[in-house]
Amino acid sequence: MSKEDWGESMQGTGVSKGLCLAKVIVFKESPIPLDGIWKGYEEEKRVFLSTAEDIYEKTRTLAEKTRQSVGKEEAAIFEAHCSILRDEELIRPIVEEIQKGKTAVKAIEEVIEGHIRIFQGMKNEYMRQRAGDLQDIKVQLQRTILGIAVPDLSELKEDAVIISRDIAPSVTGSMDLAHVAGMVMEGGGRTSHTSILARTLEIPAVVGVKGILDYAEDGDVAAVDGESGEVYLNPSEETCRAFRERIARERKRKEKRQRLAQLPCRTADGREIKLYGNIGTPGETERALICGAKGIGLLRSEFLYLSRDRIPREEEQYQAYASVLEAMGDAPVIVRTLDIGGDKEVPALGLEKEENPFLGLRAIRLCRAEEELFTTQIRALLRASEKGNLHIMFPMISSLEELRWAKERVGQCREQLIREGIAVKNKIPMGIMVEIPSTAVLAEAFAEECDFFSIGTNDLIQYTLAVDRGNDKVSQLYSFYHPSVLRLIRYTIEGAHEKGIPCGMCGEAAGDKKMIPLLIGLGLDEFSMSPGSLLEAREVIPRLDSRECRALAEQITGLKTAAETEQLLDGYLKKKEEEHE
Amino acid sequence: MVREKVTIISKEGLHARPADTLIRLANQYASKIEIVCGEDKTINAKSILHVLGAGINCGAEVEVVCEGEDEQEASKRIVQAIKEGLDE
Repeated sequence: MSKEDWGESMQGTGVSKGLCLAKVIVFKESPIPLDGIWKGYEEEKRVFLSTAEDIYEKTRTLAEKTRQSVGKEEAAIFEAHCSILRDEELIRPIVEEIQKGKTAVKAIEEVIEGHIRIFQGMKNEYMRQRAGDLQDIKVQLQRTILGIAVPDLSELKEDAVIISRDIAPSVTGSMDLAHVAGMVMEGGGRTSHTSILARTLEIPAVVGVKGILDYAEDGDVAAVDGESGEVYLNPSEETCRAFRERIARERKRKEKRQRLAQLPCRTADGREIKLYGNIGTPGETERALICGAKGIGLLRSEFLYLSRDRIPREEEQYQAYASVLEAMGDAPVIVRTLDIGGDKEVPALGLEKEENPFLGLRAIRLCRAEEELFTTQIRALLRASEKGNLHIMFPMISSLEELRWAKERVGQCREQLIREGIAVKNKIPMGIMVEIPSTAVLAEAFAEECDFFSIGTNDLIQYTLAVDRGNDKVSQLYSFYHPSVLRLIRYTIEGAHEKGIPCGMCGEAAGDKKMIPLLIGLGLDEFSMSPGSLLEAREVIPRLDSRECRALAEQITGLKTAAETEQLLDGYLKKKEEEHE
Repeated sequence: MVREKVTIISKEGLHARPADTLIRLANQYASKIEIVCGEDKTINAKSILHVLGAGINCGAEVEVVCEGEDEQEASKRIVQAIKEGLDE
């Protein structure tokens, strides 16, 4: 098949989305000759040991560089390489083989290949990846000893698409990544190092493009779609034009979003609105930051407990909380303590199925019944407090006794940790999730005994209107525009401000475009929502005037049905959008 | 020589983080530290290739064998760490 015959498009698996159009660099590694002459035991041994040490040093530098420029997870690959390069069970057998009369290159081949075969034979994906690490180390050692140069990609003159069979981590690690426009591989998979790296750095990448190395040459042009997995080699003028247009559009959209996300968010009359993110796992922190979250308004801690057969230990919890706190720096991180009940499958807890789980033993009630569950979490949180700006939030509080109990336990855990010689931050704000009508009604009394409120609208609506929104037959009755719900929100905010504490919201209503003007009018201090909703909220808020919003809130207080409220809010938002255009 | 039996409770077995924790800890001691797993299979606890290559799973009973000047301390710390799940 000649170049013309296969058409211009080839199909692979897109593993990192994005588009690019650039010149090709083909990265090929020449085979390593194993038939060198033995230069004697002492000499071969010296060459091997000094090469291993050189590569160890280089890899350590690479690990440090990667940790700073890419991230901890990617750096761990190189740290593992370092451990292998200093492994006495690797060094000793190689030296023994050299002593038997083999060259260093041959000895390395035999010993490392033996280990590679063991790892390749394992079922576990993690272990199979270690075979790739060993392969990478083996080739580096042999090439260095033989003085075979690796194509140098550390300084690229212009943007390039790298086409290769598979790219070893040691190669990607030293690549001039700022100029890598895209990566195309014949081999590889979604979970290979290169794919992970490409996603982290948002470099378009396609793997599994069979046969591309037979055609691609340095200086060709490639257009890559990292989402669909299409690769065009020397595309027609028409395809090029289409790609250029798509790339320009993508870039504009991204720039606008990022610009928006980093600015402080203010209303037209200059009132700053705190926009925070809701996250469910530590891994989502980064996305929240990219979307411009200035804090975490809700870290759900349930991820630690779900789908596992034992209760997470203190250390494990500590690591998870610490990683979020560290990533957020001085910005507040509100961690909600365990919010779980009989409606969720938690094998580790062995909870009984209840007739009516939403009115049953859940969240703080469950923690009171199983105190150890609670104290383990609190200890982990207090230990992590030194890492950042921790706020602790208790869910499902329906009476002051519950709040007092929780605060008392936190106090006891703190004393205990200090007795054990563990540092705990002095002042850790403790607040409650306001999601039960009784608490909203008594907001002022609760505000006197805690440091902040966060309104959880999802449960507040369900408990106020007696509607299960998961039930199709009644879900149309579920609405945050219901005047009773709005009145409870108003009581809660007023109660908080009466006692001088801030009030936020972490339910879905906080990210609803129509609700935002009303919530600003009611004086809500902080809006926390899923990272994806933050960008939209940022577009709406600068068009609003907080004084006008206050008047809107007054007007709405007089309305009697959800439909009337929604209509008014909808009209107001439309008016604002038209004014903007 | 100090020998002590212990059961691996790390959910993933001796892979990834738990393996890394064990190797780091073992390398802090001058003693020779070995892990006997299964029928006369003995591995070097200081070697990442040995520990990973042995593929020891959760629930396996192993024996930690320490020999050298700091064998008492090494055995105590390592057995304790394994019992605690190696920071999994």
